Amino acid sequence: MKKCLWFLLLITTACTPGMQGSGSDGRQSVNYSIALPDQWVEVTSSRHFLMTKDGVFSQYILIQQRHVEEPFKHTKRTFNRQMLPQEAAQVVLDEIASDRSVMNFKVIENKPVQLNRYDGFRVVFTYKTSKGSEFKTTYYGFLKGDWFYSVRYNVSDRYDTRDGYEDFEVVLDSFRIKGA
Amino acid sequence: MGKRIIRRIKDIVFLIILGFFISGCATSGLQPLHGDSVSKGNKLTLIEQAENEEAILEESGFIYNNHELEAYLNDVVKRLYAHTLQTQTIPRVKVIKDPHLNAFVFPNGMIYIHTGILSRLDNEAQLAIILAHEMIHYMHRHSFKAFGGYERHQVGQKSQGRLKDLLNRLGATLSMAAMAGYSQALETQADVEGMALVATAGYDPREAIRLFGHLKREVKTEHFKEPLFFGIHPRIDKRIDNCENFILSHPVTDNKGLLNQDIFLEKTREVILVNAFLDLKAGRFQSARRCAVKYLDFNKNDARVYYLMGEIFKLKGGAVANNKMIGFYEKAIALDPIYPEPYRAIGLLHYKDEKWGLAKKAFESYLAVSPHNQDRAYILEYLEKCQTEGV
Repeated sequence: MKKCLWFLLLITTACTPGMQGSGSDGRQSVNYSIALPDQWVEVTSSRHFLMTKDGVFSQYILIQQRHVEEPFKHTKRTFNRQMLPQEAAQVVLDEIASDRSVMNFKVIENKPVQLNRYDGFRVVFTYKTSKGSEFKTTYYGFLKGDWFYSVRYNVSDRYDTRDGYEDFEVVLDSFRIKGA
Repeated sequence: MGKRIIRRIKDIVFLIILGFFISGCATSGLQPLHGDSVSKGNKLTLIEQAENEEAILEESGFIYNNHELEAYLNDVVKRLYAHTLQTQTIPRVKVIKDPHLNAFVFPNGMIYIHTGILSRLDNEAQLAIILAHEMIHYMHRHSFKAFGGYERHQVGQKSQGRLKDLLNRLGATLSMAAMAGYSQALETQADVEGMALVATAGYDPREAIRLFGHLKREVKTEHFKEPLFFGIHPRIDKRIDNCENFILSHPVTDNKGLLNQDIFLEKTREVILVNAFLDLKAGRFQSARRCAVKYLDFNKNDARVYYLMGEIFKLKGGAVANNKMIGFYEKAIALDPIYPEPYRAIGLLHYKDEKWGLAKKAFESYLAVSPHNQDRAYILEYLEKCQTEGV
């Protein structure tokens, strides 16, 4: 029962800081593909793609596709098609910082990267929940046309191992936009 | 096993009932001062929970640490408290970096006021109205009354430990309840007795009408839907009625009472700017602009506010010419040549317009005044492109 409640909380708010699953307005058509690393299981794919190896409170990888005009939950801001990766990263960071369930939010790294062939950003940040659990998130994002894509790896400080990052890199390398 | 499941179902049913209770159903009349309906053990649990949540908030990064401001706010509380007959611990005040219009109090007397509402106030009398309202919630132990329902739900069971379990399961329920407000009757009590306290302490209670009036206009123009100090329990119109009724029944004399506008604006000036940036980040552009204009009224030589104005126009979008934004950024640079952000903002505008030479110059200035900023990698990439494209 308790785990169910926690999981519901995770999906709806707390542990996916700053981001809502997209597609609820019917505009969404998932148009990316990724590979599932060995021993990882898909938790849900109805609104976003969430996978974990040892449970979502240990670590998870979340892939989201969001329409540029869809406002964020906490800031009500949107992307625009002309944004540079740095500006898109700021929209994401402002959203996470505005989420009251995300405490002690600290940005460790924020830099431009290419995710496959797409110009985007990579931000690394840490945060705590109100229960004192500590997490570290490595977040990649980029804008392409009408869509913003993000791939993130979220890990509890108690499970922060090299293996998880290697699996995350497998997912990143496999990320493709269909038809692109 | 079966009993455990039934117990959990009962808890969930109670949570739903508690939700309704907290969010607006009427209670049965006002109880006398100090009267509450929760046992001593559960009072301690609520106090303990409040202290835990206070400690979490303290470490959360949400607290706006400004000792001078905090001391000033606590002085206003002391002034009000001196006009009560209370023997409880005197309430304390802290400020939360949050652009939403809210204030709330924990059962242990810790009052939190958001930068959002603080930055909208015009004078100390309006501040006193908000603080007095929260003090009345605390002094009448409204949180105990709200949670007293849990004990009635648990009649015949060992409820003390159970309330603790419930609060643990809910996590932030205590603060959420405090932030969301109480039932209409308790809110009305806090309004009316808060106004009386403000008047007794020598402040002008009519400021409440002004305060509620312009908050109402703002709520309307910005389409705010968040929990508000004035907006939910009861609705803002009812709150205005409460104040008008109080003023009608307590006519003020020629002596209009204290406003203390100058000292208030001196102590809260920085909050207005801080909150304007928070509003900007939250995408509340009209609010950000309103705060920026208010700040400009008494500080025309602060570079940050001109940078902010440029950013408001930039993020808001629409048909604003780059020249207008650049004008604000250049004004900021003229006032403070080592303030880095306006250089970057100018660089980005030129970069997007493919004015490579101008962009390069601005980005180089940015790096010169802020060589170790976290976004250095982006700037170096822009400079590389300016170099390549500009040839």
